[in-house]
Amino acid sequence: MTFYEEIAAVRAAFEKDAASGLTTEQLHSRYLGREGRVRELFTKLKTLPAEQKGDAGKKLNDLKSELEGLTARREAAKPSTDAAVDLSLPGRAPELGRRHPIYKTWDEISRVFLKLGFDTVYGPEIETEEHNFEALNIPLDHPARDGFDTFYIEPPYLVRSHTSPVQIRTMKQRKPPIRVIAPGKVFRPDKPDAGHSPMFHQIEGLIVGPGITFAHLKGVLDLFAKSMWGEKTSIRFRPSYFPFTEPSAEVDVSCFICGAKGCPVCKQSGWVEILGSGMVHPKVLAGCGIDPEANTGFAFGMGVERITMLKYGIPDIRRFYENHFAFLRQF
Amino acid sequence: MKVPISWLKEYVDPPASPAELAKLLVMAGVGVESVEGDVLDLEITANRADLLSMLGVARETGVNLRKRVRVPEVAVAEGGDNITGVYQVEVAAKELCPRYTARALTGVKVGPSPAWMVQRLEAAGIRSINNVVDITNYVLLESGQPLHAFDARLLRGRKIVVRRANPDEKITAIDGKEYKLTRDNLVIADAERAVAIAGVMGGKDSEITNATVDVVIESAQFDPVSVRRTGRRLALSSDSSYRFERGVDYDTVDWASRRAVQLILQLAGGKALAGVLDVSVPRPVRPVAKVRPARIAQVLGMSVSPARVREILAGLGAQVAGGDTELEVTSPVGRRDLRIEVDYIEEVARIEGYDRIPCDTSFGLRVAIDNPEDLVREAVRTALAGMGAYECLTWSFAEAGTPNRVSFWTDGAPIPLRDPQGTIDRTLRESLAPRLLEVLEINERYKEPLRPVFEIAHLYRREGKAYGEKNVLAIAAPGDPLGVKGLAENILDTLGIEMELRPAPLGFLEAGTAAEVLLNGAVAGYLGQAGAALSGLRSPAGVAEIDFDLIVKAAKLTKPYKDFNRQPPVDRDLAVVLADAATWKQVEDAVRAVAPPTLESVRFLNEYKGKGIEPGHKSWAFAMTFRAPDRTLTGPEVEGAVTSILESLKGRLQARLR
Repeated sequence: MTFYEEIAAVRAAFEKDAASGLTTEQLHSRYLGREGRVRELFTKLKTLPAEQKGDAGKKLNDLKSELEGLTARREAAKPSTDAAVDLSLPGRAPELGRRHPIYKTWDEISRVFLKLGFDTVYGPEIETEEHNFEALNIPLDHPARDGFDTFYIEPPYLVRSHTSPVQIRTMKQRKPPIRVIAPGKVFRPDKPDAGHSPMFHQIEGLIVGPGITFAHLKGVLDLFAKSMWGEKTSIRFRPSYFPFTEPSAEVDVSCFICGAKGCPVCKQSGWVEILGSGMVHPKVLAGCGIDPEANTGFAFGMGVERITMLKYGIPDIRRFYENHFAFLRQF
Repeated sequence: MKVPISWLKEYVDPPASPAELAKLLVMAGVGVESVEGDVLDLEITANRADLLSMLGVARETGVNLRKRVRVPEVAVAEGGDNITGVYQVEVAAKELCPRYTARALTGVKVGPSPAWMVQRLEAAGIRSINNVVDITNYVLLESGQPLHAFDARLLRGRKIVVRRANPDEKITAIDGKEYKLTRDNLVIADAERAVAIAGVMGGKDSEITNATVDVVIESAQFDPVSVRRTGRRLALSSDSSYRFERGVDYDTVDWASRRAVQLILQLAGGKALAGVLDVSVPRPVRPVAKVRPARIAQVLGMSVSPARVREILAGLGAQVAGGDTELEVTSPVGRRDLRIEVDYIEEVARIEGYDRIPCDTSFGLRVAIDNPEDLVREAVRTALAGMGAYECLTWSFAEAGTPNRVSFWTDGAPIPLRDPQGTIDRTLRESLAPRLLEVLEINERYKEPLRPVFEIAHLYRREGKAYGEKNVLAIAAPGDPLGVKGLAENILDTLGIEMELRPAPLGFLEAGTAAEVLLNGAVAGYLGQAGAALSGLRSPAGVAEIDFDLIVKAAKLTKPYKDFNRQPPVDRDLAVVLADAATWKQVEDAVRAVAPPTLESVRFLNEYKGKGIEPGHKSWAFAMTFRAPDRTLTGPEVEGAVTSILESLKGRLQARLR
C-alpha cells in the first residue's frame, strides 16, 4: 500500500466506525489520539524519502483537519441529557465599567450641536476678572454681579463662574462666522444642598456672523430640544436679563416628564426651565474686535447637572460627586 | 418685590385675575416667584430698577395691555416760613451725592397710620411704625425713590451735612446696632455727628418718635457703587440701599419728596415750610438713541412697523421723534437701562412678545471640525469602561488642609479659593490621585467589591506669578500596580502610543513599585502602588496619573493596516526556575537576544513558588509563538530555537528548565 492509499484507508475506516455507533470519544482516541491511526501515519511520514514528504505531509494534514472537523461537528450535534445547561444560571461575561452620567449627558448634548455644525472648544478653569466679568459687560460693583458670586484665588485670578469666558476667548481668536460650543466645569461659592453645588458643568453655545438673528436662536434651540427630548417637544422664550446678551431670554421646554400635562417636576406648569440665551451684546462683540454693525450673534448656556437630574429623575445634585458604585452602576 | 393688586389698581387697570397678571408679567420678563391671594411676589432682574416700584409695575402692565397709567397728582400747600431761613444743607462729598433735597414740616402729629395704609404696607411686606415713617415707606414703594424722615429738633445746628465718615466714626442705626465707619462710607451728619448711613439706614438718634413735631424729609440720589460697597462692608441691606444700588432717577427725587409732604399733611397734619433745600448737579441730559426699524428686523429676524415701534416706546414713557427710518428716542424717566439702540430693540421684542418671533433654521450648513481632544477622550472612556472601570467625577478642590496632591506635578504652595465673604475653606487640587483613592475608600466602607476607577479632569498649579492647569487621566485600581499598568497599556495601545515605565523614587508610592510613565520617550506621569500616606484602603491599590494633553498629541487614531501572517503558528510553553531578583524584562531580553526572527511573541503566563522550588527562587512559565512569513515551520527548527533560548537564559540568569 502506498502512503496515499493508507491515508484513503484510514478515512474509509473512520467513516465506517462513525456509522457503526462508536461514541465521539472512542472515535477520537482511535484516530486522533496519541496512539491513534493518524498519529501512526505521521510517524510513518518521517520514513518517506525527502522528495515525497512535502506533498504526503500536506495530504496527511488535510486528513487530520477533516477528521477533527467531523468529530467536532458530531460532538456538537450530539443530543445528550447530561450535557444540558441550566440557562437560568447567570451568564458569563466580563463585567462592564460605567461612564459618569454627567459626561453621558455632556456627550449627548454635544452630539446634537456637532450635527448642527458647532465645533467644540475649551477654555481654562482658572480665569481672570477681565474674561469672567468685564469683557462680558459685567462691571465691578454692579448689582449684576450678584448673580455671579465667584471664588477668587487673588485678583485678578478666579475660578470661572460660568463658561461664558470661552465666548470671549473664541471671539478674540476666530473671525466670524463662528459656530462653537464650550462645555466645561464652573464654580460658584454655593453651600451644597440638593439643588446647589460649588462645582458643576455648563455647556455654552455661540454663533456669530453676518445676518444672524434672534429667529435663528429660536431655530437652533428648537432643533436642539426636539433632538434631546423628542419631535413633540416645544420651546418657550421668556425675556430675561444677562449683561452680555440683549435681547436676553430664558428658555423653557415643554415638560418631557409628563408631556406638558403638569407634574411635580414642572410644578404643574407644563414647562421646565432649561437654559439662558440671547443676542450677543454689541459691546461684547466690539470688545472682542468684531464689528457689531456688520455682525450679529447669539449665545446660550445650560447646566449639565440640571438636565441630567431631569433626565434620570435624580433628586439630589450631590449624588454626582459622591461616586458611590451603587449610583454609578445605574448608568 | 411684593405687589398687592388692590394697590396696583390705583395706577392701572390690571387683568381680571392675579393669575392672568402673573402670566402677562412672566412673558414680559418679570419673574413671578409666587401668587398668594391678591399679592404677587416679583423677582426683579438687576437691570430693571424701575420695577422696584408700584408705578413701575403699573407702567409695565399698562404698556403690555395698551392701557393708560394714572400717576397721582402732587400738590403741596406750603404754609410755613421759607425753609432756607430755618435749615441748611451742605454736600461736602459731591462725587458720592449728585442730588440732595430736603423739605421740612412743622407741627406734625405723629401717630398710627390709617388702616388702608397699614394694610397696603403689610401686604407689601413692610411693618407699620407710625404715620410719618409709614409715609416714607409708602412713597418708596410707590415711586421707587427711598426717603428718610428726621426728627428735625434732634438735628444739631439745624444743619445737614453730606460727607464722608470720619475715620473710626460710629453710628447706631435704627436697627439698634452700632456700626463703625471709614472714609469710604458716606454719611448724613448734622453739625456734630453722623445721623444716617447715607442710602443704607437712618440713625437711632434722630428717628421719628411719637414726640416728634418737626420733620425733615430727605430725598436724594447717592452713588450706587458707594452705597453697594458700604452695604457689603457693613453686611447691611435695606429696601433703600437695594434701590440706590440699582440707581434712582434724578427727576423722581423731587416728585417723591413732594408726594411725601402731601401725604404727611393729609395724614399727620402740620404745616409745610415753603420751598426746598436742593443741592444738586445740573439735571443730566437724558440719553437719546437712534433706533432704526430696519435694524430691529436685522436683530430679531422679524419686522415691526415703525408705527408699532413708536407706540411701544411711547408706552414705556420714552419721547420718540425723528423719521420712520431712524427714530430719535429719549430715555424714559426711571429707565436707566435704556440708553442705546439695542436696549430699545429688546423692549420692542419683549412687548411684541418673544413668541411672535419665528423659529428660523436657515443659519447655513457647516461641517463641524472634530476636536482631537474629544475623539481621544471618547476612545479612552470607551476602552476603560469596556475593561470594567467606573468613570468618576470628583471635586476640583478640597477642604483647606486636607491632602490635595501628590508631590509630582508641583511643589508650590496650595492655591486658595476665597469666597465672597473672604473666607478660605478650600484649595484647588494639584493632583487627582487622592480623590480617586478616596472613591475606593468610600466604596470599601460600603462593602462594594472594588474595581478600577478613572477620571479625566484638570489639576491646578502655580506657574510663576500666574496659575496653570493640566488635563490629566487618573486611574486607580485595587491590587498591585500591574492592574493599573495593564489598563494604561491597553488604552495607549489602542491609540498607537508606546508606554515605557522608568523606575523612579516617588515618596508617595510604595518603595520599589514607583515609576515614571514615559510616552514616546518623554515623562508624562507616574504609576505605582499608593503609599500608606496616600491611601487609607485596607488592601493595596495601584494608581497612575498621565498628562492627557500629551496623550492627545501622541494619539494615532488611524493606524495603517499591516497584513497578517497566514502561516500556521507553532506554540511552545516553557517553565524556568530563576532567582527571585530576576525581572521579566531580563527574561524577555535573554529570550530575544538569541531567538530567530520567526519568534513572534513572548508572553508571561504565571509564577509558581513552593514545593520543588528552592528558596529564593521562583518558577516562571511563559509562552512563545513562532511563525515564519513564508512557510510552515518544522519541528526541528523550533526545537533548535528553544534550545538556544534555554542556553541564553542559563548563561544570563542561571535559569534552569523546570
